[in-house]
Amino acid sequence: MGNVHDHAHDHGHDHGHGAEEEEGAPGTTLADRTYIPAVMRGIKLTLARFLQPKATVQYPEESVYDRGSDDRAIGTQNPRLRGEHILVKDEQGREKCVACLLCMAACPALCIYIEPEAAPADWGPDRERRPKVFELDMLRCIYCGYCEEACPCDAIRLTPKLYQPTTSRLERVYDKQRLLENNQDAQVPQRPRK
Amino acid sequence: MTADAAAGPGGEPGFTPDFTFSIDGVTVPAKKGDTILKAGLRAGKFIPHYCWHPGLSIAGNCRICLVHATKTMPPGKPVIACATEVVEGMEVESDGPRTKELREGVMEFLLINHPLDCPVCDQAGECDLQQYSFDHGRETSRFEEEKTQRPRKDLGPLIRFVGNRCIVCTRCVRFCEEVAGTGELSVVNRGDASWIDTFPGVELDNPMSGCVADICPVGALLDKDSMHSTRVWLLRGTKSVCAGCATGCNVNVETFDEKVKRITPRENQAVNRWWMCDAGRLTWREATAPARVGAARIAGQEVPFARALERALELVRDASGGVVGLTTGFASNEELFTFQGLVGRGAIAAAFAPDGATFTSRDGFAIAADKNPNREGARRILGEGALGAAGQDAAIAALEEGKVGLAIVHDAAPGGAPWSPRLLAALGKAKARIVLALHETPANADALRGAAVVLPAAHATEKDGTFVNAMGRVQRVRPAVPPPAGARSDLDVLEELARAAALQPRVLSAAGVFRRLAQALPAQFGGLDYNALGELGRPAPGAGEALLGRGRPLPIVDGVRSGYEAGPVSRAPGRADDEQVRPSVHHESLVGYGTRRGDL
Ligand code: SF4
Ligand code: SF4
Ligand code: SF4
Ligand code: SF4
Ligand code: FES
Repeated sequence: MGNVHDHAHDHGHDHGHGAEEEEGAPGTTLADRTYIPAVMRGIKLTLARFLQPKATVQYPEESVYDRGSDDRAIGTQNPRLRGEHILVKDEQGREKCVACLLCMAACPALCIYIEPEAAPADWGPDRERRPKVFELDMLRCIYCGYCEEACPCDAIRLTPKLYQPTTSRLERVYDKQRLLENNQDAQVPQRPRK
Repeated sequence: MTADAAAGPGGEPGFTPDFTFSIDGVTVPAKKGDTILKAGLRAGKFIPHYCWHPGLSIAGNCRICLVHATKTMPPGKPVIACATEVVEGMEVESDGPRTKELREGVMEFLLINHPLDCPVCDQAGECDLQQYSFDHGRETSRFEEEKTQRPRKDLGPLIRFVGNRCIVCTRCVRFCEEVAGTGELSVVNRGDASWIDTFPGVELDNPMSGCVADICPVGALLDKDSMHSTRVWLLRGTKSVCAGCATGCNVNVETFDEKVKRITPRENQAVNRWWMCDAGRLTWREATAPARVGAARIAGQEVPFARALERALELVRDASGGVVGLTTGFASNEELFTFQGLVGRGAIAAAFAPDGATFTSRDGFAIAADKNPNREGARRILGEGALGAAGQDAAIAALEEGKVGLAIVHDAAPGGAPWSPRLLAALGKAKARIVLALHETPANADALRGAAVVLPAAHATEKDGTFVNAMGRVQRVRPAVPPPAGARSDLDVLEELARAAALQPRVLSAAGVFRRLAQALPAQFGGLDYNALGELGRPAPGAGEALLGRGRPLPIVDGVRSGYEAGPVSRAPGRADDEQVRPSVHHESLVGYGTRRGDL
């Protein structure tokens, strides 16, 4: 409480002190009063900015990935960014997901829906089941990564892909096929160890 | 619940303690001959166990129940709680550093050859091995050698065996020997190569084989019917009654996303002990069978349910001449009572599904030959005159007189009620016909054809009401899933019809109808209160020796009711509890987008 009081006091004091200094403040010399130097400085800054590369991304026509990673304003791709999910395929091209529903259980936003089914017989004895339906609602998702954390098979990953806008909410509900085909850059059977 | 509690601790009738002993310093009453595990369970003290099951003999082979106790020989040696008799003044230590070490050791051995299968194992979520591993196990395994491989195969039409997960507790073997009495299973080989198999040339196909999947504490024996269909933690249990036969086994109808995923038995020592039959387990499929009448019809044209109901109400309002009613042994007491009121003085005929296979287990669980869940209720409400051939003859006589204005057919029998061809032919003589039907099959096609209105009837998994089983016990059926799209349950429809016929001012719920029914028929239902039927039902008046004699009585020998249900299997959330698990909201959000799941 004491500190709060002190702060309030200091603030009042600073204000008074600033008012006293107004005698020598900018705007009192002749050059300032003609405004010309200030206008020139402004034009110089405008011209300089005008000639610099544009920071505006023509989103959604233009993707943020198209910008170089040296652009610090936007589009920097941190490889650890948690963006859109993918379902990973194994070396034989089968989805790695075994439909254990642990991601569905872990998801705090209830945005995953899975229905399991027995894996096809030709998948061999090492695979007993797979998801029949796998749906992920990207609009409901909060990109927390709990699903990735919960998965015992490294079958679901969040990738550094930000999503493109759509014209309907339905398009943001990804089904199994779309998740398997999403962001192919991250589609490697074994996650690269860093 | 109150009356259950009155039966004594743990629901065991006539329990009077002979002496006391202590578990972890808590005084526990016990009877002479009790084991530590049983007396503990009765007093609510849970000691982990795999091989012990209250309905089976004691095998003492899994060793997870090891505890320290005084007054044992040799002193200081751990004993298994499931097979050690208590003596007066015994002091048991079941929850201390010494027992923790014992359980850790046992768990480590059990997991040595156990696969890391939980993500694809259908038992996960209700697995005792998982649960005890979590409660008492070590974090890591010290086992570096190769694990043994045991076969994976179908043991019978309903049961799949996954050898690597078996902990050789022999519950399944003892079940087949001591309960089913068929003895198909045996342990083959020795040591870490041992597993469970059927005898050569034998299949595990006894009428209650599905129970081995329930009692297997791990995922070694699986019910093929529900395998890979869901995960148990998503399931929501509804305590209901099986409509497969007149025994009326108490069951949990387990659902997810408004779909039934499986039916499992619920313990009721007065009816089905811990068991149920395989046919009953599969009855939920009747509700999704292709023969199901899924939409309402007016004169053969499919119409929205509300419109068909409106038309039916009109027919009842404008009915002139007599009324004839046909019903079945699959209608609940409430439906029968309202139906009777609706038909009034007209003739009522109740048809029954023909007798089927019967089986009596060695511990007295009986599958009734009578495949109608509520024949006894129909007898009590409609009277003998309406049943079977006598009832059908009366209905035919009334119809053939040609003065019947309205015939109401309530056919909730799976596969269609077996009306006699003469009755079906006579039905055409009624001026109008309202049919509530569950299935459309060759058996009842004639009743549906030419009906003014056809309404979908509810399956037993969609009903609220009561059935009376063969022994005269009144038990609740509870709705686990809604009736087909847009439809209302049979009782609702019948009550609406009764209101339209100006018989009553308002529509009653099942509880309201039961109250009226109990008042109207004191000799048959007197003294029963709908809300006091509880989870286990109550005997109706006259459910004495004579009725019990119809099936084989179930001796309540040494059932400890809380025994099985205290296990992790039923401690799992949502397993047997109506309220605990919420359905996924996600599904509704998709419905909001105007799409159906799967067709994105
Ligand atoms: S990132 Fe989080 S919110 Fe999104 S699907 Fe995974 S668990 Fe659910
Ligand atoms: S993505 Fe992973 S956690 Fe989710 S169901 Fe598939 S295997 Fe299980
Ligand atoms: S039996 Fe239990 S512990 Fe073993 S894989 Fe199945 S769920 Fe996991
Ligand atoms: S199959 Fe299951 S019940 Fe049978 S011995 Fe193995 S673990 Fe026990
Ligand atoms: S040895 Fe006691 S429960 Fe198995």
